[in-house]
Amino acid sequence: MTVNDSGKSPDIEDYLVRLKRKLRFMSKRNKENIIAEVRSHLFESANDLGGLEKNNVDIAIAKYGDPKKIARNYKQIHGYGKFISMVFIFLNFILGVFTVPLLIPAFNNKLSMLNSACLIGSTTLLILLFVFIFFCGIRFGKWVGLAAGLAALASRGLTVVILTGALSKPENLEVTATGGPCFLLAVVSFMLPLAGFIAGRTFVHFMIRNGEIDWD
Amino acid sequence: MKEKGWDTEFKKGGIQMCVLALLSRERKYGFQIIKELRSGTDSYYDLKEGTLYPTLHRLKKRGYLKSEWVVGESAPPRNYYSITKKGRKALGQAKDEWERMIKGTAKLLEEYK
Repeated sequence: MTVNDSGKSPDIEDYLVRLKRKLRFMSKRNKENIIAEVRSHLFESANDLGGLEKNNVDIAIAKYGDPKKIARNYKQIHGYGKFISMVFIFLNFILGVFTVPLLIPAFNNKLSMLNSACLIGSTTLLILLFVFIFFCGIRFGKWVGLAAGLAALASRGLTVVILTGALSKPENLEVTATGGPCFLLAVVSFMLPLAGFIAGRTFVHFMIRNGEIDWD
Repeated sequence: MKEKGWDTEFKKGGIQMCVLALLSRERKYGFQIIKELRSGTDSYYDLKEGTLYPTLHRLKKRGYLKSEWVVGESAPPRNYYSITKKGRKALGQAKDEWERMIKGTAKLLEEYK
């Protein structure tokens, strides 16, 4: 009988280690719950087959399925843990800074080539930022999507304020990076949190109802 | 050769309703649900066991189920699932929808036999 001193089957524990690895970045609480439930199931299943002998445990594990697929299903439902979510929110904050045409005010109307390059660069990064926020919403859920968008909104706002020296001269805000009104910049910025929230809400809604099921 | 895909589509919708129905009388744990799903449906719902649990978690996340851990003496703790008030309501709606679908589909199939 392949059961160790603590009454656990090494083969079951080995499978759980593999599953746990695939569940990385999920919250500790969710991970522990899932592992405990799978352990309980494999124990019941092997016992139902006649006991915790290696052969029965192997069959129980085979019937349970591929850890990678199972982990993917769980991640779609529960999302990721707080730490990794915070990292992604922070990355959005950083990326948000570079989506404002940084150099243009300094060279306004002087170096048109540089102005154009900056505008193209920041617009490309802005598109990337939208994609990244969509990703956060889809991968981590609507609230993280919203937070990621808000982080980007905050960093863009701060960048504009610092860049234009609006803290000391509020009238500078009238002259934005492109030399025009702030309106467009503000509209785009406020769309960021909305995008994250909607992406998360739509995707989770869809996945909860259409989750994968494997049939024998 | 049997075309793959039809059964998967039918089963996908049906399994959640069957799980709710199984839990409508008493609380059950995962392995028990799998066995009863298999025996109660002549093995129609013979799913890879690991994929039932995410289904249970989905139903729980939608507020249709709740769960509690029960510690046993000789076995690892079991996670028992039970239906909520919202789950009962959803089950009732699903049953009505199911009956309407069966009736409507049967009528059309009969006509085009």
